Amino acid sequence: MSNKYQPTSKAFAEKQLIQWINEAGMSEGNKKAGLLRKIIEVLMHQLSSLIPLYMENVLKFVNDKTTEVRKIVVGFIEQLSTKHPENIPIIISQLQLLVIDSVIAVQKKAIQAASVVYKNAIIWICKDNSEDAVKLVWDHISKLKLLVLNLIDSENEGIRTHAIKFLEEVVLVQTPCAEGNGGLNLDDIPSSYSFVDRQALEEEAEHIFKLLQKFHNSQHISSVNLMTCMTSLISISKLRPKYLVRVVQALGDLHTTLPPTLSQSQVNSVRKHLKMQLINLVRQTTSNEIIPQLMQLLSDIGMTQQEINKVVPKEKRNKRFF
Amino acid sequence: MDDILYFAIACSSNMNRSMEAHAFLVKKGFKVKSFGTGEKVKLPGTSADKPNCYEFGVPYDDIYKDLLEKDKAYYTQNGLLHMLDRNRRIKPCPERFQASTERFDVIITCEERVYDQVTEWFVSRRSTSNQPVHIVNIDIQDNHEEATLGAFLITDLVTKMSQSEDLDNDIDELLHDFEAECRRPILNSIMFY
Repeated sequence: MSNKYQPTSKAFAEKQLIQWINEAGMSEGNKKAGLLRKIIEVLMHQLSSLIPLYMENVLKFVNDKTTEVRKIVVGFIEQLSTKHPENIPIIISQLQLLVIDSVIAVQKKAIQAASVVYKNAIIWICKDNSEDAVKLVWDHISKLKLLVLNLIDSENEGIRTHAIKFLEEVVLVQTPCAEGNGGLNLDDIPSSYSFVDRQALEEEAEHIFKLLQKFHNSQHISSVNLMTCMTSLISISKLRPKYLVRVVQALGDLHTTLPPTLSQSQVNSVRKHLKMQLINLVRQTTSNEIIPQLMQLLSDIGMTQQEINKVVPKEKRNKRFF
Repeated sequence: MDDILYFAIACSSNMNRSMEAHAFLVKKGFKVKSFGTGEKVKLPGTSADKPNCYEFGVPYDDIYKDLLEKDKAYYTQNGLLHMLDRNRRIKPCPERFQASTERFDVIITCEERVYDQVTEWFVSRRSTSNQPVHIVNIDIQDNHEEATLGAFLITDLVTKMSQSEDLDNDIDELLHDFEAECRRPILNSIMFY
């Protein structure tokens, strides 16, 4: 029974989709945004085989005058890169326009999406694709990285927050990971393409890491971005142990010289954030090598020996004596 | 339209403080959900060493009936039945924050331990979409009067946040001013889904 009716229901859905596409072309503002949401919903979940045929009808609104419409296009690009990565060569260029959009809200959403698309694009490159297509995507990724890198100095706090998270992703992907469970990393990126220079990528990651480190220990950083940066550095150190010692050093430096611009409550929030992140770091197997330094830092931030013993497993504590 | 902020209010059991604020915020038209972060839903019993414990997900209506059966006079007098009656008219059952798959823009917690549990939950996970969420704590004692006062404060904060055109940019200043007004220490952090 279901087979008999399936073509009809699919044909009906496509007819409905075409009607919404036509209506969206003639609508403005919230009405257009509502129609686009419906179009994307149907395309992604009911008619995914027709995405190549109809996706341009959504992507063409990348320059629409309504902010909400452009944000919806960003969401569509992010979804496509995850669920239908074969479309990455088409969508990645559109994302660049959105990352430099004139409206902050669109820019923020685009940078957030860029961190997802960047990772998906690297995964796509790792698969067997034509060299021309890979070269095209690679060039766009390089431009995207440069665009976001420049936004770390934006005057807008939220833009900086999103830029930090994007750069965290770049450092993770462009750094090799000897151990398993480290996720996508430099070793996964194929070196067979002439335009892929692994050493240059690793150097770029190192440069970005230093930038994040500098930003983290800057005296003029806001409390929210300080916490974002701290989270990013700790994530990097958890997944790429080669940065661990420098991250713990940066955290120690921060503890002794917190930005003077922070209020008492912000200081309390930052210290609490630091403590929680450190406790989590202690529990990671990757931190075994620097347990004495971490225990010292926990003590410096005001934890009693009894509290430290509670969070540092006995077998890890004993290691310091060997 | 889609710019409306999505708020979560969390206390320990999703019974008193978070539900009082939830009720206020829903009436004002905010997009909000409420949660508890504890292991179980705990309500005072007839003696201090015998609390009434339930799993998250047990309907408020069932808890109401259970307490009604156990000691109607006592639980009417201490206000628990009234509170449960209010709760069951807002949503079916208490929900645990850690089990939620939804993504919020702001999470407001009602005590430091709850704030710690929420932030620990984020710290122990790896962000996948890099979507930010602001977590703010306001200390509210777990009794009826304080819950009402707390709900006023939370509504005030949520209103201010919703009026901001760019919360990520304004949050430091907004919380600084709010803290001076409400005269309670505020904790805040940013985490990522």
